[in-house]
Parts: sequence; structure tokens; C-alpha cells
Amino acid sequence: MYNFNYHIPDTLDECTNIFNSVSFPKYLAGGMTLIPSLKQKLSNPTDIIDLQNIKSLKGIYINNENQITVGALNTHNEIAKNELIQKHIKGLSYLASNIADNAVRNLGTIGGSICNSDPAADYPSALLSLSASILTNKRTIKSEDFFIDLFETLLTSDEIVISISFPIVTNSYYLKFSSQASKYAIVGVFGSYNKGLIKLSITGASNKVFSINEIEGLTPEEFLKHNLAELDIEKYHINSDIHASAEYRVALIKNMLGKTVKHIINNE
Amino acid sequence: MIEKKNITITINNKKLEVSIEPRLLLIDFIRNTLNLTGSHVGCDTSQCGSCMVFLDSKCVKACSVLVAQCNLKKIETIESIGTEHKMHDVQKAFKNNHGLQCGFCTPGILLTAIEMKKNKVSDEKSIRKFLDGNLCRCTGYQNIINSISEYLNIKNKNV
Repeated sequence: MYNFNYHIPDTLDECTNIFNSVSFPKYLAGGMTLIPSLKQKLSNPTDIIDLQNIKSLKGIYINNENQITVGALNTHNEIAKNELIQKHIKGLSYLASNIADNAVRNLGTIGGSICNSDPAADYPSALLSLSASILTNKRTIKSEDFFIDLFETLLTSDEIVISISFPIVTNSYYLKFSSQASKYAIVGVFGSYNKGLIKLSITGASNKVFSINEIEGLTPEEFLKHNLAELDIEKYHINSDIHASAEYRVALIKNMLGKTVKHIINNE
Repeated sequence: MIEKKNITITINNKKLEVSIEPRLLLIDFIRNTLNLTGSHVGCDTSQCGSCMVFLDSKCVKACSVLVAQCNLKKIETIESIGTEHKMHDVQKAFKNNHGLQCGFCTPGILLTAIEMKKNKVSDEKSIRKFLDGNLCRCTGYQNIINSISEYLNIKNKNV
């Protein structure tokens, strides 16, 4: 690992001031991707700015718009075990309980994960399916605008995610077909059901999370009548890699969309 | 010029004040500086879990944490769990069930088992899921599962 300077500021303003005064800074959240990347010399920042002391980045509560707000620095295990999320968005708590392994879930954070925008990460599917909004130190961003491409988000370089707000839904479910070694999603499907309509989002398969236009906003009955085999999923630029070919991923998606909806209908 | 950081860290109930390079990993500090060699380094990809320690009473992989992040925090390593003559219950259970062969991964697995008890893991399927972050290259896991089942008082061995 190359050496770097380490800063641990107490306020968001201090973070951006340091960020803009050094040559190649990186923000550090839980470090479950960044520190392994530093070890492999895949990332060589001159300065690490640790966000752990910033209190406004932590806390899970219901906000005044009746949404659940999750602080950017809340860990996967905190999200998985939180009673509010278990009660109101159980798909999200289930998703968080299946990220990587227990030790990683003790440190890894939702903010760090979405800012990294790994195409195989789990959270993007929940954010898109639930139409979450992302509050930063500069603005509020809708989830459909947030993820741009492989490891790329709408955030400017010094921008910091403060929290993510999720609308409460009638039901939700996450189905993941994962790599056995890393537990990253080869295909992950998040389904949410609210006001009688289903919304499905797919992660792991393409450079970024996506929803399929033809099956957007259907009732469960309309969805079940839809012939999934005829869906054109290739147009979403499905990836091939050592874990699965594009053809296999397309087959997984078609299969898993139906299973996800059945889980939601049966309220499992 | 890289500035060293001054850190106060409690390791196995001993409070230390140290000056460290920011890039120093917790596992290298524990093993090389403090000579606590019970925690192991089994991989280079943060997957094997041999370096597991408790950070503020929660399992973390010490290969993926900087010492600089641990200012004012409490670390417990496998050395704090038990001794040869006064073994921890989880160590007794591993002894009873031949829960290890070479033993390289065992320190990490013992700490994970202790965290399982805190998380009220109550069946064998959940043990297997919880062991995701720990790799063993000898045993095929069966005796590890048996040992942890004894430690957690799980009678029903069906998956």
C-alpha cells in the first residue's frame, strides 16, 4: 500500500475544505471496498478523509414525509436489524442481511456502497425500485438520476451523501443469485409493491441498475399475464464475465422477475 | 511528507498510545508491532476471515481496517478469549469435536462463533450462513459446524 495522509474531521465543511486543498483525496466510509483497493494499489490517494466522526451521517428514523431516512454511515448490519426497516421495508432489511459476510456487514455502509456504484452491488436495486431520494451536502438527487455507469454516479468529486430516504411500501422483496465466493450479485432483483402496482429493478447484470420499461407499473395480475420470455432484455447491455455469460444472465433475469413477484403476492 | 498519527487504542484491555503511519493495517500492527500472532493473514483479498478481531465488540477483518481508524476504540484478539489451562467454552467445544485440523483459520472462526451466540443463532443452517466470511481449507467444515452447534447448545443437527 502506498502511504497517504489521514484526516478525521468533525464537520462536513471541514471535509470539503480538506478535499479541495489536497491533490488526490478520497473519502473513507466503512472502507470495505476502499481499503482492499488500497492494498492492491488499485487506488492511490494522497489523502484519506475519514467520515466516521460526522454525526449527521448516522441515524435511522421516519422523516416528516413519512419516509424512512437512513444515514449514509449506517452499516449493513444496522440496516438489517433495524426494527423500522424490518416493519416497513422488509425487502431492504433482507437485502442488507445478505450483503457479503457478517464481518463486512459490521463495517460496510450504505452510503459508501452507493457512492462506489459497483455494478454488482445490492443497494442500487432497492434505491431504484423504491424511488428513494439521496440527500447530499449540496442537493437532493432522485435514485433514477443517481447511478450513471460502472463506478460512476452523479456526485461531484467533493460531494458527500448524507442520507437516503425510502418511501414506505406495502410489500417488498429482494432475490439474489450471487457469486458464492464474494456474495456479489450476478443478478439481483428488487421488487416493491405499493398502491396496487409492482416496480422491479435489476442489479448485477448490466453496468448500472435498471428497470424494464414494458413491465413498469403493472398490477400483479397484469404482470403474471405478461409473457416474460418475449421481453427484450439484451437491449440493456447485459454483461458477460467469468461468473456468467450475458445469455445466462438474461435467463436468470426472466426467471427471477417472476419469482420476485410471486414472493410479493404471497407476502413471504 | 506523510504525517504520522497519534492514536490511543485499547488492545485486550491494555491501553496503548502509539504513533503510526496512516497506511498501517490493524492486522500488521497486531502481529508485527504487538507480537500477538494468534490472528492470521490467510489471503490478500479480504475473504478468508483468519484475521478476525473484535472492534468495539463486533467481528471485523483486521486486514481491512486501518489502525488510524481505531482511535479511542477497543480491540480484542483471540489471545483475550482463553488460555491453555482456562479455555473458553467455544475452545472446549472445538476440542471435543475435533473442530480443526491445521488450525490456521480457527482463531477467526472462534470469534465468529462467539458473535453467533450474541446474535442468538439457533439452528445449523444459520451457522452455515454466518460462517460465510470464514474459509477453512482442511476440514470440509463439518466438524466446525458440530463444534459450534455444541457451543450454541443446538441439539437438532438437521440442515
